[in-house]
Amino acid sequence: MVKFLHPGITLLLLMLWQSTWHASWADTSIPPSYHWGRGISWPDADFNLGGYVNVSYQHPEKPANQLKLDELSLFLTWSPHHRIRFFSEIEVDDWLSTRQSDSFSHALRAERLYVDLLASETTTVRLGKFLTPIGRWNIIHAAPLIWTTTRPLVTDETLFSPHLNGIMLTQRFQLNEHNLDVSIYSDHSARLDIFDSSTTGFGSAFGGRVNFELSETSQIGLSFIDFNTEVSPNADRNDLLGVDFLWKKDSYEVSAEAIYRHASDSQGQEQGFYLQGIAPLAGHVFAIGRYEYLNGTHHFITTDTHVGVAGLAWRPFVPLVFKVEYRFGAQNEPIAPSGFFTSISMFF
Amino acid sequence: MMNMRTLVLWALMACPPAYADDILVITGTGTPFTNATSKRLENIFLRKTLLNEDGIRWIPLNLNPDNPIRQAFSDTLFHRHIDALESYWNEQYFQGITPPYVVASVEAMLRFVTGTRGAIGYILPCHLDERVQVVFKLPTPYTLKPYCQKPAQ
Repeated sequence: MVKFLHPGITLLLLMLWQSTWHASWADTSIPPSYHWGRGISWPDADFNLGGYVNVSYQHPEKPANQLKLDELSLFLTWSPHHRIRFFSEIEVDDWLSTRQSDSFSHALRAERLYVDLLASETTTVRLGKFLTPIGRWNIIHAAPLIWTTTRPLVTDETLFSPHLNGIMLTQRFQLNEHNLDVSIYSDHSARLDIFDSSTTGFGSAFGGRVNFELSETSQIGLSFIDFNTEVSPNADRNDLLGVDFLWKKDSYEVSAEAIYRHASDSQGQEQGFYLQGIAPLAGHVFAIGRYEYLNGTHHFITTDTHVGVAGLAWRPFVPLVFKVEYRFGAQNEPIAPSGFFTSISMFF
Repeated sequence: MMNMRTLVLWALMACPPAYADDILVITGTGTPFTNATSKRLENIFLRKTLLNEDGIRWIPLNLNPDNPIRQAFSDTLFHRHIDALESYWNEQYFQGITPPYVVASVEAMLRFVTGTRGAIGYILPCHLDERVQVVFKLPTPYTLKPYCQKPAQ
């Protein structure tokens, strides 16, 4: 990483770094500290270092079993100025596995790498590599945050790239004491994503998202993106529409996402949704149920897939979660094979 | 480990009295804050709003989780108990946002707010002195006067 930095940029970063150490008054400074699940913080420098780890065991009915280190992620946040906020997530993805291990250098990638420019208290401009704001799952896809080891089909990277490389403008409005967040973005991953060797990225894209807090317990979101893929830059562009919903109260949760994607050529069209419910049982154990449906041409394969997921999650401490689930369905084997899936994940 | 003050507060919360006490939201005298509403405060203390109207970064402060004033503040402003916010802070941590800093006492809150531009905290009316300005009065249904001893200097 350091070899990419121009000496002038390095000097600027050092000056910003030094300035932050004098941002607070000496007699009111808060000392650096570590909290499990919240990382290590240097408040005077507005610097935080943390991350998460996820290990899974997958026992599908058809392919071989697999124990693997899914993710080892490191977050770094730094605000060298009131209006500037850097964030990076460096990740080792699918590195160690009993089926087939990847080389460390190939598994290492920048999952996110961006700077937020706070133009005002309600306006933010984001530059760099960040998560594609389609639905809710993709934005909070970290294993300690989600309830299942498996990911719903309508959020899968074969449907849309989980990352954007470009610029995003987010504006917050308040309507009758409810937050309304509107984001628009433009992507040119084919040119800008220099840190990723995967081939699932966008070629270019533009789109937007609206999220509205209906109440203190529920939110609704609408997403739109127009894109082409890096592997098929000459194919027709895709349009994807999404709608999502979240309700949370007293440890109960209901969430849903639906998508419709269309392209005029052989990429075809597909539509699908998931509906997921969470209910607390006893002793920090939660029951999870999910139904998924996907129909159309999914990654050039005609599909009409029904999937059910039934599972348990045990959260003995806030940063730690153990999950076990069984996935089943109809016409699901090629893209979401039935079987047992379990994982342990933890913020550190 | 639940202490006696927490037990007393929970008992009071179970039977909210007809009268209400206020929690005062405070900033240093050099920190501008106009048009304060409970929604704006919620966005600041949940760190959805990071910058104030003067272009200075907000530094929201909290008391310890077992402090009855903190518990009443959370229940009144967010309508959620402190524990119920943990999943929210987990999601924010993934976005690089950490919860407000925790100070050990009301006096530490007053000192930090006084000495740091952009700092914002909360106290009871009996703790108010000339070092800080009140930007919002948050009426609570809870009796907080029993926790009204003057902060240690």
